[in-house]
Amino acid sequence: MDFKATPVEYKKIATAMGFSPMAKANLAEVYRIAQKCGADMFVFHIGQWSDKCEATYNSFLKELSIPKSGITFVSKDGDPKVELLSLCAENKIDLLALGALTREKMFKVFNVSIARDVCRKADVSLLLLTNSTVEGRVCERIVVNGSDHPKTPDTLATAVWLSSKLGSRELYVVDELNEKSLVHPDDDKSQLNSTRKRKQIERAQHGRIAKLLSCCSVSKELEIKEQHVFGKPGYTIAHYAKVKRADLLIVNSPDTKLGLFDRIFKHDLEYILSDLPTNLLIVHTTKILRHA
Amino acid sequence: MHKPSSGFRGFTENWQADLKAGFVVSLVALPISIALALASGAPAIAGLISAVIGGILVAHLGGSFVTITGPGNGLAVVTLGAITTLGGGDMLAGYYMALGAIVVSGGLLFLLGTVRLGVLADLFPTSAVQGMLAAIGIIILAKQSHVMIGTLSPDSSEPIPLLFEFFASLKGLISADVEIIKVAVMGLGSLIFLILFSKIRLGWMHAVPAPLWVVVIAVGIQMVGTKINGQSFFPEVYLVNIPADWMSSWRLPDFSGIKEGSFWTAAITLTFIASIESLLSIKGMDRLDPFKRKSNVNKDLRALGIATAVSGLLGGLSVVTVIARSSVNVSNGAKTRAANFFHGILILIFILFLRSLLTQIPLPALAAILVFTGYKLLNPSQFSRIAEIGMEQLFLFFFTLFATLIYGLIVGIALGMLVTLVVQFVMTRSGMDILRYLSRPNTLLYEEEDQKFILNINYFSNFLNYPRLKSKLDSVPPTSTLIADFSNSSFVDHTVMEHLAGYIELFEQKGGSLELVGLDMSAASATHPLGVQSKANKSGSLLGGLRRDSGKARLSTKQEKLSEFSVMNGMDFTSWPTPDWDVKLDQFNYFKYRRVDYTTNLLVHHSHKLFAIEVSSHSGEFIMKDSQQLACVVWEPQGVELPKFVLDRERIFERLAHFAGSKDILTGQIKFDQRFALKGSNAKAIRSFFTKECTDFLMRNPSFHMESNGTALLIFHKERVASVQEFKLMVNFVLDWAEQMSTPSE
Repeated sequence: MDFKATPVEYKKIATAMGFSPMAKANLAEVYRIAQKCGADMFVFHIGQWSDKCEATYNSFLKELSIPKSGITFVSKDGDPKVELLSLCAENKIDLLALGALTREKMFKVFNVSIARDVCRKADVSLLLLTNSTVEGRVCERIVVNGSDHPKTPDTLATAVWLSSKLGSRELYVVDELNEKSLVHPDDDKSQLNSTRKRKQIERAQHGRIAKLLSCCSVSKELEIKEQHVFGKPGYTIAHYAKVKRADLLIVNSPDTKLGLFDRIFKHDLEYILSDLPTNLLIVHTTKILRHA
Repeated sequence: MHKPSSGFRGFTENWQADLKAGFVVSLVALPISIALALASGAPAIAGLISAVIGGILVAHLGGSFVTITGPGNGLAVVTLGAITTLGGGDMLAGYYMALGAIVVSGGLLFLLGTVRLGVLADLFPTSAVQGMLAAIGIIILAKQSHVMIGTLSPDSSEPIPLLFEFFASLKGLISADVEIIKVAVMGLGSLIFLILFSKIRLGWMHAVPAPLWVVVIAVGIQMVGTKINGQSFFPEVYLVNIPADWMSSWRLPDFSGIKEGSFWTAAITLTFIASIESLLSIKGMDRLDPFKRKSNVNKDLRALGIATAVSGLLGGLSVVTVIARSSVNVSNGAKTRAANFFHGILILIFILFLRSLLTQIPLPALAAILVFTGYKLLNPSQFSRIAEIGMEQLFLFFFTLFATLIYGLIVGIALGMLVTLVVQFVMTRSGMDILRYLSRPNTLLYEEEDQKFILNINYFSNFLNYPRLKSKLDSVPPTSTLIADFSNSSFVDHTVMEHLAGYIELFEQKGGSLELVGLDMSAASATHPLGVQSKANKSGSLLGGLRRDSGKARLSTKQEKLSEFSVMNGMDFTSWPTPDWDVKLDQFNYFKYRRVDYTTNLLVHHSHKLFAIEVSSHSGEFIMKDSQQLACVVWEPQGVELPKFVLDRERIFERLAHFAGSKDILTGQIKFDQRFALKGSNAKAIRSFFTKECTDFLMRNPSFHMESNGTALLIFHKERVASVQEFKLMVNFVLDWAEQMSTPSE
């Protein structure tokens, strides 16, 4: 596997305009991010665009002192879940930012919210905002996935790039490792073996991550910490982000599109989606994957 | 004390000690094995075969060290059930069919060990298991009390009617034959002897265990009486029957029922009870092992499976690990598995050479031993102990007990589990959480620094998701420091708390430490350290309830330790300080952007003006969003000009907007400047504060985060819940500093 890591730099950021209680805060947050990344901002609206909507939208922009000229606004009628992604494709959007609740309702397995449904099918990078505020907070701590996967180099590079743009101080690279690779300690002897094996794996993984980071241009301001965690992939990183109270969690995009089956028998990304610990960025790399 | 070597070398080094222990155990095991065989409705020899095979095979194949294997109490009840139902009234036919079920259950046990399902025994709620064991005790007691007073075949077969019938038969004794009265006196006398044995203050009597005394005295009476009478003192039917040709009368178990449901029910029940009884015993023995070795549970299960199958083929009962005999083994100085081996071999020798003596044992004496065992299993003194943990646990205990008596073992424990879950639904009001998160992982374990692990538990922790917690706990070497943080979980049930107490003991024994944090909030609503720890307070409002009755609120283990620590250092401890603390904290920039939710565990040192406190705060729009707990010290140094500054290593403070503009300050001490980031506006005042002594002191100690607001210092270690050790470290650090400052420099 080559270690060439190229950050996915976001040049066109879009958000969907809804009229939920969080709409204003989301708009403010996305605008801030777009400013910091130096990207063009798009606002999509799916559905009937009435005068009342227009008035609310304008008042939002005014209150947040966002110039109308800085935003490309598109309104379209149709099914949000379908149209949103088609609009992204039309406008060559690299990052779609959506507001989301931290938890999905228990029986919403079948009838899922727009944000989550979109991210299960998306072909663009996705940012799910759970705690946007009008005033804005500095994105201090970022937790990023560092597991051994062909998509990881790009994700990691994106995280480094984004942290410099957002002015983050700490970047936790979380390497999720499979528990199954360890011997289950039955007695004192196997406990020793297991610890030795764990250390050995961690050393190897440390080497891999160091190599990856050397390809990224890491600024001096950014403090990078590495954490190897044995546990269920997907779940572990979300729990870690929660414990460390990260402001942003960055993960790889799923290898396959996720359906109903994945929602019932949760794995990887589904664990994160079902209980969002913080803001979530799913990096969609354009690099062609060379693994099977 | 160094650990005995394993394998043949361990055998040659320790065989004398093991032979002695094995001998004493075999003397105890001999009467108990015969008694349990009789309680199982099987021939006396079946119990002895089980002990012999168990001793010889498990000693070679097992994974535990000082355990003794043989026929078990719980199994007696199951085997009796199997023999009665499979035989359909014919006990002998039933016995051979039950042997078939035993062989199959041996295979199942081996399978359990192979797929590492040793953890299954931990899946059952503690109170339900205790209730089931007590029910087994009652079943044995009910049945054997009749044999004890000479009624070999009582009218009823269900345990509860049997108990009532016992008192009727006791009344009937008055008008009974002399023969029956002789038997009843023997039985009741034995029982009284067993009860009073622990009260006897003659040292030499305690050299031999009580059951052996009973058998020796009973055999003595029988033999002397026979000599005087010229005929058997007790009627033949009341004596143990081991046919002289027991070896040649062997025949293959009857597998004809293998296609029937009842056969499999028997096999599965046998497997289930055998694994529970064995695993509980192995766990108990690991705590008693003088060398603190950890048993390989799954290997032991495989060995027990093989031994059970072989024992069944030879006509013996299931082989399980038994705790009573094992503890006799340890207290007599056993060191390795060889003790179990010797115990088996010695029993074999007894059967071969002392058969005529064994057939002189009167049944009522054995029944008395069983009645006493049954009573010990029921152990009424545990009722009050369970009630202390919580009335709901007592309810669960009795519910499972009666459910088991009425519906049998498997249904009984299943109902016990179900009701435990219902009780948790109601008590903790987390029913939806339980349903929602049951199937999801909920634990995160990571190594924060070398040899220091953090285990964070999300959502909730109860008996159903305990296996996940257990596998994480097992993967941490017990020589290291582990902090288990429950601040993200809404409740922890009694079963988990009890298991955790075991782990705390294990870590202490091996030189590490395990500490539970994040339970302070729950402690006030719990009634016992091991009771259900739930954050849902009965009075509804979380904090209102806690603060109102703060005077009588119970302390968590951590709070108790902190309270002790404060007394030792001349400080005052308050578990729920008054809310005006929030104001004091707000004067620091660190808390400017956080809202303080509540404060706990305040330690005050009056002369140094030092306040150590735990703060729970949050930032962001939503309550519970980005909430954190942190232990900090607020200190107002006396007689020193305190400038405004921030000092830390990990740059936590840098993100405070207030200091964004202030400049880095170098003290001139190169090593200090390299290690810490010091920021402030008044460079001169800061330099004069950080004298050489001061920087030297800070360099000698672990680095803390510090913020000064001009009058007081805010000092903390990590932005998470602190363990007691970390708390003490921090307070001691500030105390030292205060001492150092108050001593005038030259």
